[in-house]
Amino acid sequence: MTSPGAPAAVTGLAIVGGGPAGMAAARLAVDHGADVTVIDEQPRVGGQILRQPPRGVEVTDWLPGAVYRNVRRTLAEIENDPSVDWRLRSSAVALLPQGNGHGVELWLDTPEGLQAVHAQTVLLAPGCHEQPLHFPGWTLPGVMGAGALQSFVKSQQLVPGRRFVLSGSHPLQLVVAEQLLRAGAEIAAVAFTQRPWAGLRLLATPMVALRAHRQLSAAAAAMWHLRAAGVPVLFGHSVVRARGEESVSAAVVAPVDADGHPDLRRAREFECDRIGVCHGFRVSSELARQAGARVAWSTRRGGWLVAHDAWYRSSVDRLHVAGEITGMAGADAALEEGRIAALGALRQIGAIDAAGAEALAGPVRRRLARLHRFADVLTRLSAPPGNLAAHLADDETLLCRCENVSVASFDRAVDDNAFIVTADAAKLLTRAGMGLCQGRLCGEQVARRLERRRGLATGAAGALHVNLPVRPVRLGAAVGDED
Amino acid sequence: MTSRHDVVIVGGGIVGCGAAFHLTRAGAKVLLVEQGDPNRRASGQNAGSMHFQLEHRLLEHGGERSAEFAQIIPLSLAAMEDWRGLEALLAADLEVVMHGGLMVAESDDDVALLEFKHAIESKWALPTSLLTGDEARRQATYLGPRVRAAGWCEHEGHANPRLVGPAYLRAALEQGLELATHTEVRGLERRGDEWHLRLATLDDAGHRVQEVTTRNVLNAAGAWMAEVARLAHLHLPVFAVPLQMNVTARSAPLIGHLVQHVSRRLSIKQVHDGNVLIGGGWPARFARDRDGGVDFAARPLPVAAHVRGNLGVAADVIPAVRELSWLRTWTGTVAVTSDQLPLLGEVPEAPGFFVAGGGSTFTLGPTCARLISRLILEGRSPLPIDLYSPARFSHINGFMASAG
Ligand SMILES: Cc1cc2nc3c(=O)[nH]c(=O)nc-3n(C[C@H](O)[C@H](O)[C@H](O)COP(=O)(O)OP(=O)(O)OC[C@H]3O[C@@H](n4cnc5c(N)ncnc54)[C@H](O)[C@@H]3O)c2cc1C
Ligand SMILES: Cc1cc2nc3c(=O)[nH]c(=O)nc-3n(C[C@H](O)[C@H](O)[C@H](O)COP(=O)(O)OP(=O)(O)OC[C@H]3O[C@@H](n4cnc5c(N)ncnc54)[C@H](O)[C@@H]3O)c2cc1C
Repeated sequence: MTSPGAPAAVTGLAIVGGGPAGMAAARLAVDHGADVTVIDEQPRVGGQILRQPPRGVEVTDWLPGAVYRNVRRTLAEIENDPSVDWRLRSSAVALLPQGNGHGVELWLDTPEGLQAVHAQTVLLAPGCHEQPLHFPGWTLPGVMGAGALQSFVKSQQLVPGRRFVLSGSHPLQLVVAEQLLRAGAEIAAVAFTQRPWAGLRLLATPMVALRAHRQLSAAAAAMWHLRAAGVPVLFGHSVVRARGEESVSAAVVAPVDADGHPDLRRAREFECDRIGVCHGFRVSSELARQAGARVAWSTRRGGWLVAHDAWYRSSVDRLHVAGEITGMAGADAALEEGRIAALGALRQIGAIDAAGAEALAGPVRRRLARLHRFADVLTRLSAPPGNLAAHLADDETLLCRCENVSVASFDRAVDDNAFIVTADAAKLLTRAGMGLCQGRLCGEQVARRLERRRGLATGAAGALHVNLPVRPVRLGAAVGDED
Repeated sequence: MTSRHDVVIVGGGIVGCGAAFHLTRAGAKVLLVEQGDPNRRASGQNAGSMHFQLEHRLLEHGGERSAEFAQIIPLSLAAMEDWRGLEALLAADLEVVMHGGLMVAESDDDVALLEFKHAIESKWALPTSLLTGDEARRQATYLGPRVRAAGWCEHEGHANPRLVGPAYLRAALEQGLELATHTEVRGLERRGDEWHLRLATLDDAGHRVQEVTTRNVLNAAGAWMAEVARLAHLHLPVFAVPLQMNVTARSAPLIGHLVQHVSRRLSIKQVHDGNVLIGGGWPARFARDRDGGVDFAARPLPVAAHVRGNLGVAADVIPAVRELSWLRTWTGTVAVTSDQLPLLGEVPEAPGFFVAGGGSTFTLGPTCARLISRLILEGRSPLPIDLYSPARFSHINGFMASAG
């Protein structure tokens, strides 16, 4: 084991992220004789969608259902393969491309301290995270992402609370509500920002055989179960405030219009101890950005997506990407993207020739094209109203919770310093986005608020620059602990 | 934008913004041109140390050279006064803290170096004193057992570099400064007693090029001073040096002073918000492009071994930092002159062409900005600055200037 500064451990292909994309890529690369290292900060692979229970914990009936069939099969095919160098409980915190075919150095924060791995080529498949919503009270304990609530239920069959309100625009919240209900929770309400007809109109789109879309049919089935159990499912509504002293005691829910403007006179209060917010996802492109890869903004497809070519190569030499960081498209698409990216990486290190890669990629590309069409409908169906966060936040709402920057103080700084026109400059002046999460939670709102106040187009304020390490590391671990 | 000015300032760092403040305060008609966002380069990326004791980089080359570097001290003495008055002058909270600074020694050689340094400083009337290891630990309880002695200067401290440049700029704008951001100076030509500048602004509409005219140009382009001078057919021996810095997550008050090391690269302090900044001049390296070539325009890349090295020195001197979270490392580019002294004055071969910068121009920034402004406005500086004049490099402009 080596640390940064000392000569690094060497591998052929380092895969960051053991979700669907990373697992499928690892399988294919190992089958072609590559030296593969898989890095994941979780104790077990499987990624977000599987979120496996820890080894030794028995969970009966763990993730039944057709939605998970393909990813579970891939998991079974790779998880116990000893030819993979597994680096679990290890976060990739820095990527340093060496340029000109010299590969990439990765820094890993591991239980044994900071270590360096030198890879001939890297595949980044770190997936996505939930998008928060900045409404008054969003930082109260008890306000969580719906997906975070789900991972408790998935991996430990644990109900993380008593009475829940779910609010958002993504159909995932129906699935989560139903899983919570089955696990014994009370669901006070589920609020969708969309009006029902908006979704129905899309569902009628003839070009897509939506009935075949497993995720949507799972959501529809969940809705019937919830309604049958007497849970109110409200359309055209959003949570607008969380109430509570130490933690959440109630959710205020109000109708919202198509721009996200709430009608507070018609607000209702639901007593609850948990609020699950479900406005979809933002891709975890911070490592790619730290390494200097080109990204492009897409509000609908997940934020700063990493740009790539037909082989899923990023703009940085020897840096390949797959899965959600190329655009939200779901687990099945992530599997296929992982396969194409692996073929691209194998070509790069000479483990497969161009014709061989092309032949294998053909059928994968066809499956992927179909999945991308489905994904496109799903992302359109689940888009939150454009300016919801801007309408909901009040002066005291925290814009950046890590650095305690309120909306009012941010706006004042922006108004007082007219020469600031980029998100990065706003961060430097206000500290918003400078904290532990490096702007994962607030970066988007920092940019949007600045753009609104300056009359700039969405995305014009640019992405926050990402510095290494992308996750905080105990300093003693970084320098090597004294014995 | 009007096209005729008393002064056009090239560069919106602390020096450029500071000069803009002093010049507009005196009623001059000033345009400041910045190729990106103001205060986004070295002036927004530095460690914010106000260090007045002779630095490690000035001592490491031994006796005679160090004595030359001591010529910086008159400027340091002025800088102490400037910093003490800056928050009142700009009516802004800049998080200026002057609780004193320690320069620590670990080995016998270090202690000897510290004594040598102290002797030079005394000769130039810089108020420093020598502490034993125990005296230093009484003053600064967080120092570890490896500290054998320390130099002490009660005026040292730090300020927030994120705030200083913008505060100067806000005040200058109120005094009538014209500002062109995302605008690069591409050409500099002297015709008669006026300078003509070509400016290229990059905006949504694409590229706009325009010409402005001024009696005086102030080159405050930091690490890019040499490039800007070359536009005017002048050479300045200024070199761009990529540096890296580290910061920890916020934590409870631990370190109450600026701490530096006399022979190893270290500067460490805890800022207002609780973060501990760890730097000390560890080099980064220039970025590479896709083909493996060097890309000087891109942000420099951090060097792994130097992160470890820098954090390691910090942990040697202040063991408690081991328990903090290393949050980020970033890089920036600083200007270093060939003799390590700043450049401050008018270029003799090019009347009306002034330069200010080079070296630790955060510490010396307010002073450089003030003095160069007086020189431009009144033809002389209130403090003798001939030691720092670009005239000392006239020999390399013998070839160039006449062609302009
Ligand atoms: C809470 C949540 C619930 C979801 N539910 C569904 C669902 O029901 N159906 C569906 O189709 N999609 C769902 N998604 C989307 C889901 O992420 C994708 O469909 C699928 O898992 C994407 O696969 P991936 O390989 O791109 O990323 P992921 O599955 O997210 O895998 C990424 C892996 O990378 C690891 N990782 C990330 N960064 C680092 C790092 N720096 N160092 C080390 N390891 C790292 C993570 O621990 C993770 O295991 C959900 C997403 C989230 C966040
Ligand atoms: C990591 C790091 C740590 C440091 N720590 C300290 C410290 O603790 N204490 C200390 O005293 N000093 C420190 N320094 C040095 C200090 O930051 C610099 O000396 C100081 O900020 C320089 O200020 P400046 O205004 O001269 O240059 P800059 O801040 O670099 O400003 C120059 C500006 O000119 C602009 N420019 C360049 N060319 C053109 C052009 N053609 N047209 C238009 N605009 C142009 C640039 O975009 C830039 O904004 C540190 C430096 C770094 C990088």
